[in-house]
Amino acid sequence: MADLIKVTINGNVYETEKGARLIDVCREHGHAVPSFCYYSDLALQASCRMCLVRIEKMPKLQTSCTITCTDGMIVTTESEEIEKAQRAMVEFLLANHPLDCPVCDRGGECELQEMVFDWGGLEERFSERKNYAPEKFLSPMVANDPQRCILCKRCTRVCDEWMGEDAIEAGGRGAHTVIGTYDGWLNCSECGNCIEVCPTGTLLDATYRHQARPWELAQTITTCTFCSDGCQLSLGARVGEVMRAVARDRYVDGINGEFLCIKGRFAHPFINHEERIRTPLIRYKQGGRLVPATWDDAIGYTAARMRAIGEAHGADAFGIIGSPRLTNEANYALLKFAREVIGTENFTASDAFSLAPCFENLSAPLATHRDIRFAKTIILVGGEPEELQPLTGKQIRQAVRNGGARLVIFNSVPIRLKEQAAQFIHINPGTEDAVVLALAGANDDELAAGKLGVEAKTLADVRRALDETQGDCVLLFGSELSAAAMATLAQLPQLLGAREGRRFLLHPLPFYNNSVGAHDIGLMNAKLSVAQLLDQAGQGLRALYIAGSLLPEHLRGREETLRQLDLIVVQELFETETTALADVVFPAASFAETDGTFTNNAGQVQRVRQSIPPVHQARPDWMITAALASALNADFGFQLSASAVFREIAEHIAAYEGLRYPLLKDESRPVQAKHALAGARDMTGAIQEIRARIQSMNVTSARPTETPKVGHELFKPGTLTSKTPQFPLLYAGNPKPPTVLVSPLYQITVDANLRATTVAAGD
Amino acid sequence: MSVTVPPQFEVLDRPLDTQMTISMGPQHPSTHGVLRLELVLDGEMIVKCTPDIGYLHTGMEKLFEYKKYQQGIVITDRMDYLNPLGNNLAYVMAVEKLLGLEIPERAQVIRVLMCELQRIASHLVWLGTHALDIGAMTIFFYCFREREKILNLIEAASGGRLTPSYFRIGGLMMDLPAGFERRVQQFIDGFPAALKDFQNLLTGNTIFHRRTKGIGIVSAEDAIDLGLTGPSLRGSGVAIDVRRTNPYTGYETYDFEIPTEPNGDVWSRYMVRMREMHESWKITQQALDRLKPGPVKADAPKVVLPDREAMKTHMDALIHHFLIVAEGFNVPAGEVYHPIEASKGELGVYIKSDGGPKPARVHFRGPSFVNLSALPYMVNGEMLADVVAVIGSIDIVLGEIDR
Amino acid sequence: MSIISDVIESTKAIIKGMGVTFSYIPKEKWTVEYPDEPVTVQPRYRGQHLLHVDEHGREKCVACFLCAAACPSDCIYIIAADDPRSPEERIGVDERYAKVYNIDYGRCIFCGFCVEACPKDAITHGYNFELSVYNRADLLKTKDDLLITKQKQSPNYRVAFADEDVDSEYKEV
Repeated sequence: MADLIKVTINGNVYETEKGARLIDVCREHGHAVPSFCYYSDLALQASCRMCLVRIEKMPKLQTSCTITCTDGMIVTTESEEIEKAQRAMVEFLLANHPLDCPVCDRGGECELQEMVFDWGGLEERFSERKNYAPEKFLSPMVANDPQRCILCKRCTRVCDEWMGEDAIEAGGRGAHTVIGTYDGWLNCSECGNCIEVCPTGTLLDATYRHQARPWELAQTITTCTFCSDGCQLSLGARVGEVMRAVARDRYVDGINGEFLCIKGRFAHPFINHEERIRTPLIRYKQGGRLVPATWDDAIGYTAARMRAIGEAHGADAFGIIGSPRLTNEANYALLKFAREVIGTENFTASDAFSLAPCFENLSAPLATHRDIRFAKTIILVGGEPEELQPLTGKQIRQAVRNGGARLVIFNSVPIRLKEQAAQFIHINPGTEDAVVLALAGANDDELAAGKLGVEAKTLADVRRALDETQGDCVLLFGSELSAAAMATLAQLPQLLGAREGRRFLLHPLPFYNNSVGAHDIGLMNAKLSVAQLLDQAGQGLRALYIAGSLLPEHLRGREETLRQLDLIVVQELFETETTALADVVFPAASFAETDGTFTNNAGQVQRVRQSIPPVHQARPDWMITAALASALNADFGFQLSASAVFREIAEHIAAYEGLRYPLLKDESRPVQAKHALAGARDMTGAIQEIRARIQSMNVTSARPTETPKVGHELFKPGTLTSKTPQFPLLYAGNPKPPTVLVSPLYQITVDANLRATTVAAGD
Repeated sequence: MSVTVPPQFEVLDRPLDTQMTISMGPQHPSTHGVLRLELVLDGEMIVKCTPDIGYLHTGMEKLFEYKKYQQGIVITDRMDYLNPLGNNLAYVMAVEKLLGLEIPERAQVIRVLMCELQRIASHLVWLGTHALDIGAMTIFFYCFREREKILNLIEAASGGRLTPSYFRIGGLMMDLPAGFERRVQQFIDGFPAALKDFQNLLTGNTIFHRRTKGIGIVSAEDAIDLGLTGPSLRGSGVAIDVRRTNPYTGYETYDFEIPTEPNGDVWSRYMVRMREMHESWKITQQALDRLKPGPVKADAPKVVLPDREAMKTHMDALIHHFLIVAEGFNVPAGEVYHPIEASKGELGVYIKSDGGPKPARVHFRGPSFVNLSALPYMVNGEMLADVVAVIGSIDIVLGEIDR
Repeated sequence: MSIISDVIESTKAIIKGMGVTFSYIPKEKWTVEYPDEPVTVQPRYRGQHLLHVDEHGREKCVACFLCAAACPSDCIYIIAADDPRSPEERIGVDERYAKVYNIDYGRCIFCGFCVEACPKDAITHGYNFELSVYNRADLLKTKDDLLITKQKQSPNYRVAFADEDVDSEYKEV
């Protein structure tokens, strides 16, 4: 516990921690201090001059955002003098501000408006002509009106400190300072965090441009569906249409603060996309067309076919495949369907990266994102969090930049995070297992270093760093590790032994929003993996029930055998390669239309809430499964209530024991699932296996030397993200259009091969 | 063959007797709205009268909780729809009391002027319909003709005839139109002659006397106990008027009398209202004389919408306009009760604020509702035909009763 | 009171009353023969809304939603949109315009708050008051019904001059 000191604010004496920032202390105790540029956890700026306070024995008014409390400090936050200074500041801020609140998208949630209303007067002495600059686009995602800027520089700081991209900067001098980009076009990861933190309408969401007002939108707090970080966001919906996703702290306060990545923020148009499957579809004849049907028909048809197959070939003729993108509720319903209705153990989930070895040997808790931010040592083995788990990437960067953490990266690709790393160890491709071997002990340094293509001393350095760590040590790993290596890494805290003042935390980097949940429910540590299950097609397997779609790597090359199956039932949002094989397709509800939970890569179980009613005739996945079950004479007892499903999960899954929806209500205090910690295990077998594997490894030392382009993973047009019209543009290289005054969408068309073609403006 | 009689129509005490229960309304021309009276009759004599209300229930008070403070004004229009400006006034003054706003002189005078005109209009409807109920038809047309003139004035000032919503929190919607004062003066000049006509048509009429004198008597003590207010109370000889006892908008500075009549019957209440129209006419003249140029909106930039010209040229004014319209203004937490003398009696507004832009609770003490509760006492023992006379004499409006 | 005095009193009252009635016979008539004659409305009268256009015929509305926010009965429905064309070709004065602007006259209470809220003078109350329809759905008026260039004005009203004395407008018998 830090030392306590006494500070007097407006005549009240408060005790506070030494080193606390004055503005935080004032606000904590209810003394309102206005500010624009102050943003907690960002570098200080002190440019807006709104947070002025009078501190005794200091000659002038001081900016409270830059003052650290000292013992006996006497502060006044409200006086005529301060008010006059603040009013004058507001007047200056408005001197060049265009009169365009009615047009500006920020109107209604604009901090400048609120500040003027709360702290400004109704006096405007500037009668000179205002500067004028047209509204323009900085990228397909970001619109910009330079005249609305108050130069708080939150955007530039966020871009630098959170994203490490420095894509947006202030240019010019004095009254002509503007926020802009190099070359006038924003080539970054398009995360849009500059939009989020902008207190005015200077930087705006170009995809939501001129569409609605905040008070018209019903805000629903929910969990993002794109990666395993599980960011909390607020979906703004109006008459059944999701208009935008934001993480503004006035709507939502989750693990991610105001951070979101491009997918979370901009990739929501798929929800109301016109290509969504509208009704259940049935293919009555092999090779025929999918014909729209009613729900009753489709359920009845499926049940009859299932019954026939079951009678002819037995329960093990069925395979049931869940998905790491679905809610825990949906996956649980599938598991229950497989076990209780069909009576088979042929179930799995369509994830290529199984965390089962990690959780079986887990010997340290999972690191939350907050833990990562305040960690002292961070070891990243493989993976590329910035592109695949952007929040984790941001937390790592901040831990290093703002927290002074030591980051060690083992990767065969020089990923962007290496700029932050204290040690970037460029290893040979495919040799990640050797890193685990080296971390586990010094015995195999020679072997490991040889295969990794690094010096043995480097590995010793890393081990020493681990050894010396005071505080948290987070081990992150990507999908490159083999099962034995993952198990060993999970046991590493035990292998290295406990020491006072050091805590090991693990943080896997799975790909999907509910990879961890799918594992917890039990789909991932099933009898067969997806590949094994699919390989049985045509032999023992006669029917498949797939929620979501199969991954391309599982599907490719198996189409012909799958086509020979008697029945394939698919629940999907869109027509995909998997539905092309299906006999029955059920329209499923997206994450915005259903209630449920996702479990993120920190093991936090977070709520997914219904923002709009299901579009067209879609239904939540677990309801479809339950309806199918009831057509097969099995009552799941869910009674159309997601919370009933979750209650059953909590009763059956040990890690979720005691959890209920009300306990998960507060997104600012996420609940971590209680994953069982294994004690020390004998890992010699596993280490032996790794060693053997490495020894037999034929290593190439051709390491990629070029840092991959920003967004090489983020911009990939997937089934969902490609529904946002801007994504193909970005994937095509984000070309700068002929004029920045009009959205590039109207100027550039992207052809089927995703190459951008520029056409004349206004065409 | 036996006939099952519904319980309410069952013969009560004596078999083979004349006591019976009938429903008067809810669709009855003399109940001034959708009021249903359950009357127990002994022959033609009222044994028991039970008013049954709620046919016009609109959930108004609940509705306030979902509207910003300024949006609540339009709801009050629809309460006592014969006296909408009075309702507006009660509501905006209660909010102003919570906010602690100073209202400029001109706005105050215009409020008095408009409210007194509205009071006359309200009484004119009462007079016309009351006489019509009793059987005098001609006067109805003359009353409505005079009321038409007032409604034209209200329309000229606010744009609305029945639902003006002219008053705003912190002042008025906008200043009076050009030539308004001249037109009010014209009305004032012509009104005494009209009033004299009404007196000629009714006051001396013996049929009218017989229908009203000694009917529906309520004593002064009973009137106070029953919570009667307004002309219905003053008809029993109690000189209580909120404009005198709790003056607002400067009523203490106007010279007017509080007319009372001692008998407490229908006739007394009729006479009180006739004399009150004359008093209101007097106040109107005084208010008109006091009209001086000046602002009509309070100097409260965080509550009152800024001037339209400033809003289009000044950024800070635009921001204030935008936020007041879009999000409303916060009213300090607290509770307030503000009574005014509406045309039918004491109209009190209770507002509880929790500090936000929408009220936590709004409640009205509607004079019609309280006065209606005295009806059973008044009609007890009277003839069935007198019920319409008594209903007319307490001057109720169902929009205010059912809220 | 004897019957005789009763009769005398009643006769006197009737004569007095009839005197009032007869005195109006030579006076001007005050009723308006609507719809044969137009009704006079005051300049501030709040009738059916008008959406205004500027001197080039472009809609003044920028779809700022303030009218919808001010509306106590939630009768205004707007869908805003972007018009990327050049200022000459645009539908509205600004890039932002209302693609859909509906007023549901089944809900509208003609309070004038939307007019007060409009920062662009794009919406005002017109004078059309004959809004009855045979079908409830027809009460929903779209931009085509509301635009000043498209709204059909009823012949049954006349707007008074700003300081006209409407009440003195007695008609000759």
